[in-house]
Amino acid sequence: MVRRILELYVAGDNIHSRRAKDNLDDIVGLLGEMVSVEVIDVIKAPAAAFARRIFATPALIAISDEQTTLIIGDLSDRAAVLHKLGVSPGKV
Amino acid sequence: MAETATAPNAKISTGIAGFDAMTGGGLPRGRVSAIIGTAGAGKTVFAMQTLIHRVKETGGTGVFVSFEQSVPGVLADMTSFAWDAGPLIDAGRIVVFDGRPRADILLSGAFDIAGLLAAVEGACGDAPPACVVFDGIDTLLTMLPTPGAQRGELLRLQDHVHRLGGSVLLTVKASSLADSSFESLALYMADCVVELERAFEDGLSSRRLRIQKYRSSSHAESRFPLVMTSRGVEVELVDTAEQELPISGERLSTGIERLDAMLTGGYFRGSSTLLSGAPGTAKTTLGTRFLEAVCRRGERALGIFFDEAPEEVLRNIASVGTDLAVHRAAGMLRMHGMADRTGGPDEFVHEIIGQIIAHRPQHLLVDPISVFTASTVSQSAVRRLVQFCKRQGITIVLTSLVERNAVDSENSRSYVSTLCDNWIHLSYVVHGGERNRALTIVKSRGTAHSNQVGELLLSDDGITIADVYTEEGVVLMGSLRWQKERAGAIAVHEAEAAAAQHYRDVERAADDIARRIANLNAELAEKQQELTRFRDRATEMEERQTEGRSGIARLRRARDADLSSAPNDGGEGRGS
Repeated sequence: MVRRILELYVAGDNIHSRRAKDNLDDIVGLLGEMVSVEVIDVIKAPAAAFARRIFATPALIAISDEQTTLIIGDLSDRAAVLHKLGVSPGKV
Repeated sequence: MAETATAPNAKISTGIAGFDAMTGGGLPRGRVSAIIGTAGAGKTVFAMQTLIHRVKETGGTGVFVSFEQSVPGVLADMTSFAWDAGPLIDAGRIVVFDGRPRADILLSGAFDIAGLLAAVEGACGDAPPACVVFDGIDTLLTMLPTPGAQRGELLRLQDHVHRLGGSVLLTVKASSLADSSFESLALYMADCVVELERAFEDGLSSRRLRIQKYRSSSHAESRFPLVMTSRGVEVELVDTAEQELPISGERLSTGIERLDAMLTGGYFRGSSTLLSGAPGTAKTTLGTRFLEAVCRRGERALGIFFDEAPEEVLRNIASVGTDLAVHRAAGMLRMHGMADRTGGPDEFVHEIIGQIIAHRPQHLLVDPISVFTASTVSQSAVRRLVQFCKRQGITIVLTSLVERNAVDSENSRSYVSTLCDNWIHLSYVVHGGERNRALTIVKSRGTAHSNQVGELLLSDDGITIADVYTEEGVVLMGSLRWQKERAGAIAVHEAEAAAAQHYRDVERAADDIARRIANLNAELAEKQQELTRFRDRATEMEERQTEGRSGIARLRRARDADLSSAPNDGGEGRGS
């Protein structure tokens, strides 16, 4: 059962977008749980960006039962991202 | 396209008339403009006002991205001004985007603002927005790790704006920090930079606007007052161009006969008069008297009252027989109360000028002008008001409250008195247990005015000015003046009696002399007659002597002839 939804908002296919996608793949692997991952290109779907109040890209929105978390950037600091997602450092 | 930015039509009106005038049309179309300023300087209001004006003018959509306020907060601000923003918001033509970074946000690695730009596009549907405001963009930029990244993102924004063709306004908080590199970057990038300042003087705030730069456009260079009203911000343009002021030689009655006489006819039309004085010295009474006088002539007048409500003024001046209610009802007089105003000097003058434009008076009373302090902001505000009225040919009467009753306190509003053509000072003179009102004409340009201090007398039937007596350098008023007047009357009576006596004496002397002259004339005539008689007798005697002498001669000739003719000639002897 999916306990977590991850929405990655990127702006086109630039270096930030690619790094963010790569980093997200790694992070999903480290989470070790069933997650739903969706990558949204705000250039193609500006209305979605407006709806989600995306003011910077890349932006990761993590939706779980407990909370909604916003992480801005290419997710290069994986430990910090995992911590923010509520995953204990020991599991990493 | 955006490349035609240098053409005159490449400007978009902001709806702020003064700003559009000083820039020759407004902000650059399809470009980035930055509004920079300290907190409370009016940046957000300027941006909102422009946004709403653009939406109304184009019929399009506007996006307001706030990095500082919530959506309800922004909407409340927009609807609090008289812009009629509600229907536009309801119709979805003004979209507010909450760009505040959430407190729990995690920054992890490099990012850009492409998402924001996409979201702005997404907010408007298919058509590009008419105008976009990024309010407090410095908040977003400070999240970027390096000045290089900040620069990169600003350039991204600029590119985006050029592509969209709409106009973008950034508001930037002026930072006290010296190393606010994004600030200078924003200024570098923007095509038009408007700088707003807010200062406090004497507890009143004042705002100034300056155009720091405007690419490919001429613009007014100086700092202009920015006023904040219920209609938003407005730039008060200071018309510094030399202009022929209307000059009139026409005298207008002050409403007080004796004061007219002291001013040789009254105030000049289009002149300015300062009525200064301590509390209760009848400044309002004198000022409103003038309004009544001009209304009676059938001319329009405006009264601005800072101390009392118009109804209170009407009641108080009715006690000295001044009736303004009738002129107010007839629409000739507008009485505008400003007792509850909290703005600064710029706002006051803006409101007064608004009243002048609405009512179009020929005469203006501001009671009192001393709500404007001696601060530089106040001075420039009063100067603007006086200049505005002069150009319109409006006669101005300003009252000014002087706290102390000292002579040197007349100088406390020296800049106002310098501005004004006439200066009448009202004071109390306390002497002999009485407090009396004194009126002095301190100056009156172009008038041979009276130097005398007059005593102002208020009664049910009106206002008069009595001459005062000066005795050993002390001005006498009230009952002392009465005593002096009475003493004077007795002195006059005595002098009259003495004069009458003297007249009689002289008359008598003259009669005496005339009589003596008559006697002498008679004597003279007698002597002359005597002389005539002597002269006649002398003539008679002379004639007689002459006759006697010729008789003798005749006898002598006869005897000589006898002697010579006897021996040889008988002819001569016979012929005679």
